[in-house]
Amino acid sequence: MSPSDNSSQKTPDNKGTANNKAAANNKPTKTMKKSQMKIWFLIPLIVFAGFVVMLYMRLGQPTDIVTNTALERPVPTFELPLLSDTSRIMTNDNLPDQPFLMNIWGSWCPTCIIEHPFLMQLEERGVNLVGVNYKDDIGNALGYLNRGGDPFSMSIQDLSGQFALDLGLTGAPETFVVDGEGIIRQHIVGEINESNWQSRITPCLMLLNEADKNNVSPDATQVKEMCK
Amino acid sequence: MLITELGYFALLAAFVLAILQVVLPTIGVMNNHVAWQRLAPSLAWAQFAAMIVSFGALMAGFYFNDFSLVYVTQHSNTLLPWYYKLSATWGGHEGSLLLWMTIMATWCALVSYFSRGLPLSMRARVLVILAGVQMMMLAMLIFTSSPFDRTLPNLPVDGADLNPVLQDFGLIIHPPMLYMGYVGMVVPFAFCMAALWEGRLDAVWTRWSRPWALAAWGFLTIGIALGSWWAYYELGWGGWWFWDPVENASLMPWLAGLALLHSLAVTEKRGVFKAWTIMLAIFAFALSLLGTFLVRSGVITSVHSFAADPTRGLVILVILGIIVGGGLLMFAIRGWRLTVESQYQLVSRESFLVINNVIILIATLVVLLGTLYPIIADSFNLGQVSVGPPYFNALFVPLTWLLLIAMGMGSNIRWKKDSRPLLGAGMVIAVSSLVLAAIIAYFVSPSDMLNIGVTLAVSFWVLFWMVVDFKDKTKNAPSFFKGLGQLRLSYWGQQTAHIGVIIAVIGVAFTSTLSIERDVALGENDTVHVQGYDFEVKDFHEVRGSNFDGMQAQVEVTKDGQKVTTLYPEKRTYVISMMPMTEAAIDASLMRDVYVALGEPIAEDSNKWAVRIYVKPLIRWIWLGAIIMALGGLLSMLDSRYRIKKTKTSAQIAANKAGFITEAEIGEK
Amino acid sequence: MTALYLKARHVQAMRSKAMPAQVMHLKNLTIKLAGLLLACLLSFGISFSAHAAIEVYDFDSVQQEAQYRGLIEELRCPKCQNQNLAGSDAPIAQDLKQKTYDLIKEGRSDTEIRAYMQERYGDFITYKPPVRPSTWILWFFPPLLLIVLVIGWFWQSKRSQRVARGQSGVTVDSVAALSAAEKAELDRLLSRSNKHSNDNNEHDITSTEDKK
Repeated sequence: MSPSDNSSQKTPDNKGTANNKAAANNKPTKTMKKSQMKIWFLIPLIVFAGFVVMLYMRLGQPTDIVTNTALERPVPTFELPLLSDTSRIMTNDNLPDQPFLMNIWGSWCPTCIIEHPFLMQLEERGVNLVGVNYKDDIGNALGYLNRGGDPFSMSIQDLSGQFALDLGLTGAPETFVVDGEGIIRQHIVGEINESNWQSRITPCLMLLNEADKNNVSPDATQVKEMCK
Repeated sequence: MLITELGYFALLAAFVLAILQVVLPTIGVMNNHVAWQRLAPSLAWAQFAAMIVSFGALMAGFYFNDFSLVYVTQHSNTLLPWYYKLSATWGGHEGSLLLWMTIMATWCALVSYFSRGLPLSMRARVLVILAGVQMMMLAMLIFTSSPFDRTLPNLPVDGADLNPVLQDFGLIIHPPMLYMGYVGMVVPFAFCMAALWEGRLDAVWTRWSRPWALAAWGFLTIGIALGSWWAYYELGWGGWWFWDPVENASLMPWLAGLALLHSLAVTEKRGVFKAWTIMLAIFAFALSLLGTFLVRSGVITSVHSFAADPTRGLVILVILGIIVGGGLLMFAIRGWRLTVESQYQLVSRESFLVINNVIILIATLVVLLGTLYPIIADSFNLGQVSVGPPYFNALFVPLTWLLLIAMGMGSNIRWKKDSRPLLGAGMVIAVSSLVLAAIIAYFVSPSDMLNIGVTLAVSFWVLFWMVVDFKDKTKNAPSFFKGLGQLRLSYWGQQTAHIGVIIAVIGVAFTSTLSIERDVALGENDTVHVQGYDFEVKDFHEVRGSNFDGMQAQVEVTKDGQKVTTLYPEKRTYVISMMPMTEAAIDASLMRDVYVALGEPIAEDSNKWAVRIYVKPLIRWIWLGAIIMALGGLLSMLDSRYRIKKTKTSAQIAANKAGFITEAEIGEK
Repeated sequence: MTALYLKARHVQAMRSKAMPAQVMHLKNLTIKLAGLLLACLLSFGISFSAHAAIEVYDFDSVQQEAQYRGLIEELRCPKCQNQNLAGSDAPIAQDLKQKTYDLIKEGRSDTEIRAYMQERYGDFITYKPPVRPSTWILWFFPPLLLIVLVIGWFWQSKRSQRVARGQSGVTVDSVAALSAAEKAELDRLLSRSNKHSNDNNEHDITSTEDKK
């Protein structure tokens, strides 16, 4: 496209262009330029092909954004009242010393109601559950636990939602798998059920329990593998 | 209902016709069989008729509440007002695809009609390529996204109602206009492909395809402007452009189309940049198809996107791959032959059009990169990032300024070589623009001088150059006005469109920097003062519509004691879908919009409601500018040089004299 | 309450597994379709929550209010389909707006608030992508490409012009061979045709086809 030159063309799409830097004397280099030009003309097609492949790979992938900022960090510091006795203030020291599940719930949340029976099952199996009552009216919360049973070893009350904010919460229910040292290792968005319990949580918990029994920190690569 | 079944058959018929329209004229072209080539226009018209029947049938299905169609059940309801029932036809994925195809058939019919003056072989080729696209899209429509699927053996008694956001005038016109633009981009594409196919080395086809490119681009301009306007008054937070992926999906073909228009100007005039123009035509249509893909495949996150369905996405991707890949392949095989030497000086219109194309290309790249970056980042594990207005505005706005600087001088410079003493004139104009802009910007808003000042400076630059050019073009005429009268329509179109750009850009600058927003709690007889206006809530009362209930406030707006207007913002709940909706009340005028929206009752004091008030200066200029741009396109399109006159060659005249009709004349019917 | 019901429906539809649809009651169908409509955002138009929640806050100054508006337009709602906090009424958006307000009242700067949000929600919470090596291509590739293209084109054209002038046999210099009178005649002719071509510069060179 430059003036007084054999017309070079820009090859657009998203990967940049090229200028034909052929010599100004066109006659002796005409054959060379012909094949050179042909190659330039092929570039858009190649770029496009790559582009299509990338889009193809993206089809069917979930586009939801999952916040994972809480992972590999300690549970955020909190000072929140105990749900069953709001005169007592609980802090991070009150959290269990062994690996446990921290479940964020609310009586207003329909999926939590669906999840609840499974949590009761987990409690029967001996899993340690800590509940965080998120932005809920205390009467409704206690009523909810009375009706469906209380699977939690303890529940703390996050009225303002600040603790949930610190966790990077976007809704309820969400569950965090915490190891023996108080570091969050896994984040489940949505309800826990038999399926993700088996496929995701159990491998992670087993690893964390093993590490805790041996009084060591879980190995980083293994955590990546097991706590997906 | 029988008529909807008829619609389905018409759709199938259109598909068969499309296949025929691809196959038969191709054979005709390859074997030089004139009669078979002549089939192409007839088939195009037949297809048009079939699609009209099909679309009409679907509309009838909505109007007559045919809930045996799944699509009607999903998007309509007996309580829906009749005009929304009709526009609900394009309220969902399947129906909007049918609209797409109907519009495509319309374009094909128009091409068929207006190309009667073209040589038959070229005409046939263009129609074949158009039919090829139609064939693939119709296959997708029929086999994966048919709006004519039945709910039978169940027959719902009522439907799910149209999404309340869509129950608005905007839905009635925005999609059709937008689609006219999107789909219209196929026509320049088809012309380019046909030219390559025929092995043409000349640039005549550029003149044939330019009016079509102008038309498509014009519709797209209006479609995008309508979408922006609709979002503004519908969404309730005063925004008119969010750089949402779906919005970007419409902006990219617009930008590519813009570059195409300018490149076509050069190719038409000087016969150069042919390969580049073809590349742009492919690019514009590719972006159009990419937009369709992005919106319907679920690959990007957007409030605008249709229900994400990876299967549909795959089909569209395959079609995109075939059409664009085919185009690029043809380009690779034949395009390189189109290279031609051109001589032009540095100070010439060709140079400025190169700059124009480069800037627009970079702008398109910015939009494309920003839209796809989250996907790219996620694919290559670079983390999850959001790309939104801060990014796009940061890069796009300076590019716009650069483009306008180039536009000011470039649109008024001569072809090939301009040896006038431009440097002097340029300096004078530059300085006076800067000074004038600085003064105005200072008085308008001392704190936001940069944005407003630069925008105004660039606008004045363009305007002053325009004045210089008008004077230059009329200097040989007996009088200024007589001189104006002699100017071509395409020149008027150019200047009109450029003025439209200036108006829109000024509107954007002013409204982005100087809008005022206040959220207040107001009860009856409360007043609030915003930006010189006083807003008093007179009362709240209930309202009822055919399919909604709500609360309406009466807000009296005064300025310095003088009554300006009374506004009635509403908060509605649609009974079927139970969806809440805000109907903002806007007092629109050329210089500013006053906008009031009703929120929720305040939790602590239910006698008061949350009310949002905006004063937005010059916001109408944005859409006004867009309309003027489209008008410019229309004027250019109507220029007489685009009307293909059927003139006879001397051989033809001689043959006619002798009593014969030449074969070419038969073909040109 | 209705808003809550909607939200619940939405959340439920999003988080429950799809139920096999074997027997459909008519009523069930309608309700289900309504739920699906909402949940799957089958809206061609705009947002599921078609109204921006309007929160009323008291600010100490105009600057504070402007800071608030700027931030809620820049921060993203983590649970929505691409909306900023200003345009969303999702509960989490309201919480984040409240938090932003609180932080502004405390006197925090934009950078601090952004950092606060990013620490808890990651990079995607802001619509302005951070400038990092992984985002260099986003921020710097277009401007760099622009500069490269313009300079490249400029350089190429200068080079070609130089070569053309040097190579071409017939250049303007060769009019030195003309006599003075001839040169004057030539100049007169050239200036006149220049004027013509400028006046008719809408007239096309490639218009031969029309004259068939």
